[in-house]
Amino acid sequence: MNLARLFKRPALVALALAGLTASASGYYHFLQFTTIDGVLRAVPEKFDLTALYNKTLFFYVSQTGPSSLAAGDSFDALLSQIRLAAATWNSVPTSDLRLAYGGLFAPGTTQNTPHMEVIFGELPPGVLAMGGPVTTTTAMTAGPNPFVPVTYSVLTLNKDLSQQLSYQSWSFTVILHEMGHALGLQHSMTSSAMATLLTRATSRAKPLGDDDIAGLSALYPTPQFAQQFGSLSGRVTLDGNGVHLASVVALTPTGDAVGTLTNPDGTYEIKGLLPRQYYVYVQPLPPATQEGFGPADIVLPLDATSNPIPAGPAFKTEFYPGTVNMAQAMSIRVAAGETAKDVDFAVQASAGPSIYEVATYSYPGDLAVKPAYVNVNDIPRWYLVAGGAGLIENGSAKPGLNVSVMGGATVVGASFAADWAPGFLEVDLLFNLVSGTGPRHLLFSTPDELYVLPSGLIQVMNPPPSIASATPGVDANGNPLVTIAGKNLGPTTKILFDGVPAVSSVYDKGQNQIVATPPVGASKHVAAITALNNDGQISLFVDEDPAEYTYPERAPESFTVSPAALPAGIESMVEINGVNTAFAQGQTSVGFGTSDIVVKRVWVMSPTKLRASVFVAPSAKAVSTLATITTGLESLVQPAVFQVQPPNPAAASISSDLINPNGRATVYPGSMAIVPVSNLPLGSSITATLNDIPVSARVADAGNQILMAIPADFPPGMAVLRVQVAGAAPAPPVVVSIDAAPPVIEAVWNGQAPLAADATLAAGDALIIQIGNVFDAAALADPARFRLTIGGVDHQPVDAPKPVDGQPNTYLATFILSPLIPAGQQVSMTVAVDGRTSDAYQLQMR
Amino acid sequence: MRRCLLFGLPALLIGVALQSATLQRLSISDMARKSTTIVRARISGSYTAQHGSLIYTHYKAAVSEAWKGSAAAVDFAVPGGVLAPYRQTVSGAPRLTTGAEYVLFLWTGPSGLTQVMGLSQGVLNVVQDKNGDLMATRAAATELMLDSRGQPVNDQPISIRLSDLRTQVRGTLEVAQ
Repeated sequence: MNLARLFKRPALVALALAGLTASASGYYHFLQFTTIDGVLRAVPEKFDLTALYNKTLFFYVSQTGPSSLAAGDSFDALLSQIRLAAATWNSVPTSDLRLAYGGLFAPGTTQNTPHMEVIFGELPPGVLAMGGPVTTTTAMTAGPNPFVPVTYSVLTLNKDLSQQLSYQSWSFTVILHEMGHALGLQHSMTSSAMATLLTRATSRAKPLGDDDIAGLSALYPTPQFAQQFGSLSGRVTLDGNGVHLASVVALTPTGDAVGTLTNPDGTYEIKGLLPRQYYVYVQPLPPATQEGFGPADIVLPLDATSNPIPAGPAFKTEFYPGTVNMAQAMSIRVAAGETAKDVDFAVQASAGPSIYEVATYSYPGDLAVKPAYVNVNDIPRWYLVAGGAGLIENGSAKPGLNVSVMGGATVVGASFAADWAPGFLEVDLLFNLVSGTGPRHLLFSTPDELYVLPSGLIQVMNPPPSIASATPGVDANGNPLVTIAGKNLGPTTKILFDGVPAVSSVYDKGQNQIVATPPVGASKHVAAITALNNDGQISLFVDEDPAEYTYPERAPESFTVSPAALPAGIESMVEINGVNTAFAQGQTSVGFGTSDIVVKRVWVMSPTKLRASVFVAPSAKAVSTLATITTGLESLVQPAVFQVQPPNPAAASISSDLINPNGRATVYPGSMAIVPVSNLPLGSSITATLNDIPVSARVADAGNQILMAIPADFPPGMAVLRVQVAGAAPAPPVVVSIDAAPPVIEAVWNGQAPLAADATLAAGDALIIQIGNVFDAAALADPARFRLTIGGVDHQPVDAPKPVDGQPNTYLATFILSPLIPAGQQVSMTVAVDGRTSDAYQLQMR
Repeated sequence: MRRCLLFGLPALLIGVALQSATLQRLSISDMARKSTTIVRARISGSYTAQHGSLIYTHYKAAVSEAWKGSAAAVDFAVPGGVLAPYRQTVSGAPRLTTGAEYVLFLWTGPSGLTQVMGLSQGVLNVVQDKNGDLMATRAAATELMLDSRGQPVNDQPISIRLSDLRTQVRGTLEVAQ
C-alpha cells in the first residue's frame, strides 16, 4: 500500500484527536459576571445582531489555506466541510443568527463589521483546531438583557493538515464544534456537538443535539423560541449554600439531553426544552486536568473585579428529587412558554467524582464507531465498550460497578473488563420488542456513586449505509450523474460529495442504488462520496475507503467584476461575467473578502453571468480586495479585483431592501414598496424604472425614501431598479427582488364542516385549508419551502395538497393540529411559501 | 458465535490501525519526541501580544533544568488573553500561575513562536508530595480513545516522581537519536 493510499483511508470514526481541545470546558456560554442593580448577573458574550446585515454573520476563510494537505485532499474539499458546518448551525430554526460564507480573505484585511475568520495557524502537535470570540474589555450593552458584543471571532485550523483528510467524520464535527465556540457556545455535558470530543455523540448525519439547538437559540432567540420551548429552573445547594458550576441536565429516557451549569449562587435555568416530562439530574463536572484550572478545565468566570469565581463545593450526582434510584426519580412537566420552577437539589458532599468522562464505542463493522450505535436486529453485536475514568481497577471492573440503561426497556446483561480491549469495559446488551430506537442514556453506579452518560448508546434498526461503487454517467441532457450502489441505502439517504449535498438524488429500490446529481466541481476534482442515513449512521462507519467521483476536465475559468470599484457607503448592482464558468442557481455565492462589503444577494443569470446586490459599509477602508465565487465544490478566486473608494458623503445610494408599507415581508406585483435612498432631500423630483420600465414613484414624506408602486402585471423575479434625482448624478442601480403575491387562506374546514366563527379547536383536530396564490405546487411537497404555523408551531400537511378544480394556483391541504399549540387561547395561523407569508387567520383553541 | 466475534476484534482493529498514528493522544514519549524544548521552569511573568487575528498570552519562565534544548529562560505563548481593548477566549487553553513551577513540553514552529504541546497536555505541575518528593502531575487527558494500533486505550493521570520523568524523557530522547 502506498502512502497516499494509506492516508486516503478513513481513520477510525472514534479516533482521538489528541489535544484538539486538550482540556474540557464546561461553561455553556462565555459569561462575564457583573453586578446590576445590586444583583450579580451573568452577561454573555455574543454577536450583536443589530450590527449585522439581515442578522447575518459572514465568515471568511484565509486565502493562505493550509500549508500542506493529505494526499488526495484539496482546499476546495476542506472549504466544503467548513461551509457544511456553517450551514448546520444556520439550520437552527429558533436561532435568529444566520451564517453566510463571505469567501476567502487576505490576512490583515481591515474589517470593521463583526465577522468570523477561519484561519490556518501554526498549532503545536496535539492541537488540530480551536475557536473562540474576541470582545472588547469595556463594551457592554444596556437594557434588560445586557451582553458583551463580540467584535469578531476566530476559528483556527492547523496549517499542517497533511495527516488529516477533510472528508472524515471527525473533520466535520471538529469544525462544527469549534465554530460553535466562535459563535459563543462553550462546552456542554450532554453528549451534543458542543460536548468535549470524548463524550460527543453526534455524527455528520445527526450533527446537532437538542442541547446545541437550545444553546444557540438561547443566545440568539427568535420570538418562536420562547413560544415553542419551555424551561426549567431551580437551585443546587450543599448545606444551604449554592453550588457553582454544577451540571444540571434534563432528559427523557429516549431523547437528547439538554443542560446548563449553575451560577455562583447555585441557581440555574435550562432553556430550550420541548414540552414534555423530564427527569432532571445534577452531576459534578470532571476534575481539572491541571492544578489551577476549574473543574473540567474550564476557564473560571470572572466577577466584576476580574477575579475568578471558584467552582464547587464537590458533591454527588443525584436525580430529582434527591435520589440515585431511577425508580424514585420524579419527572417534571415542562410546558411551552413556561418555566417549571423550584426544581431544587440539596446535594451531598463528596471528595469528587471517581467515574467521569466516559466514552462508548460499538462495532457495526470492522471499525470502532463512536458514539456507540448498536443495531437491535444484529444479535452478535449487542454490546458496546466503554472507557473512562473509574470504570476499571487493576484490570477488572470497578468493584460494585453496575451499568444500566435509563428507561428499562434495554437491559444490560453483563458488564466486565474486556480482555480484548485492555482498560475498557464491555457492556453486553439485551433488547426486546419495546426497546425502540434513538438515544439511550447509560447509568454507571456503585454503592457510593452515580455517573450519567447521556446518549451513551444509540439504538438503530439497521446497519449503517455502505457504498460499494460510484459510477459516473450523464442524463439525457448530458448533465453529469453518479450511480451509487451499496447496502442499506434508501429514499431518505443523503449523499455528500465532500461536504456538499448532491443537487438531487433518486433512490431506485429495485436496484438498491441512488442516482445522484453531483454539485458543480472544479476540473478533475476528486470528491469523496459519503452516504448519510437519517438514523445518524454514515457510510464511513463501515467503509474503509469512501467512494470517489472525479469531475470531468474543463477549460480554464476566469471572471470579471463590473463595476470594479465602489465608494464606501454605496450600494450597487455588480455584474460578474465568467469565462468557461458553471454558475448554477442555488449553488453559487460571491464574496469580497471583508465584512465591510456585504453581498446581499446573488442572481444567476446564466452559467457565465451573475448579478449581485453589493453594499459597501460607510466605515470601510479604501482597499483593494479579492473576490471569491463559489459554485458547489468549486472556488474561483481573483486577487485585487475590487476597489473600495473613499466615501462620497453627497452621493445618493439606493438600498435594495424594499419595504412593504403594509408590513408584509415581501413586495409583489400590485403592492407598494418603500425604497430607502440616502441623500434624497424632501421635495426632490425623481424618476424610477424597474427593468427600464417607468414606474410610479415619489419621494416619501419622511425623506430619504421613495414610495414606489409595483405594476400589477410586473413579472416576479429579479429586477434592476434605477432612480434618477433631478439635477443630480444618477444613483448606482440596484437589483431588487419582486416576489410573487403572498398565499391566501381562502377557507378553513374542521373535518368536513366549514369552520364556524365561534368554533374552538383542540390538538388532534384535522384542519383542511384552501390556499390560494401558491404558484409553485412543488413547494407544497417540501417542508423547507412550505410552512404552516399555528400558535408559533410548525405543521406539515398529512399528505400531498390537492389542486382545486377550476381555480389555478389553489390547493387544499390537510393538517393535524399539534399538541404543542398553546391551549385555551386564540392563536394565529399563517401559511408561508418560500418566505411569502399569508395574512394571519385567527383560531380559538380550547 | 458471539465469542468468535469478540476474539476476532483485536485482529480487525490492528488491521485498521495504521492510519491512526497521527491522531493518537500525546503520551509523555510522544511529547518528548515532538517537543523542541523540554524544561523544568518557574513562571516569572506574562504579557500579551497579537499574532495575526489571535491574541496570545506569553509566559516567561526561568529554567532550572533543560531536558531538551538549552535555555536559561523560555518565552512561550498560550492562545487567548487580554490585549486592551480586546479579550480573546479560547476554550481549553491553560492558565499558568506566576511563581509556580512546571515541567513544560514546548514546541517552536517555523514562525519562531514557541507554544505548549497540546494546549494543556504539555504542562505538568511540579509539586511536593507528603513524603517531600518532587512530583510532576497532570490529571488524565480527556482524549482517551484508540491508540496508534487501533486498540482502545485509557489515558492515565500522570503523577510521577520528577526524577523518574526526567529519566523517562531522556530515555526517549536517547532512543530517538
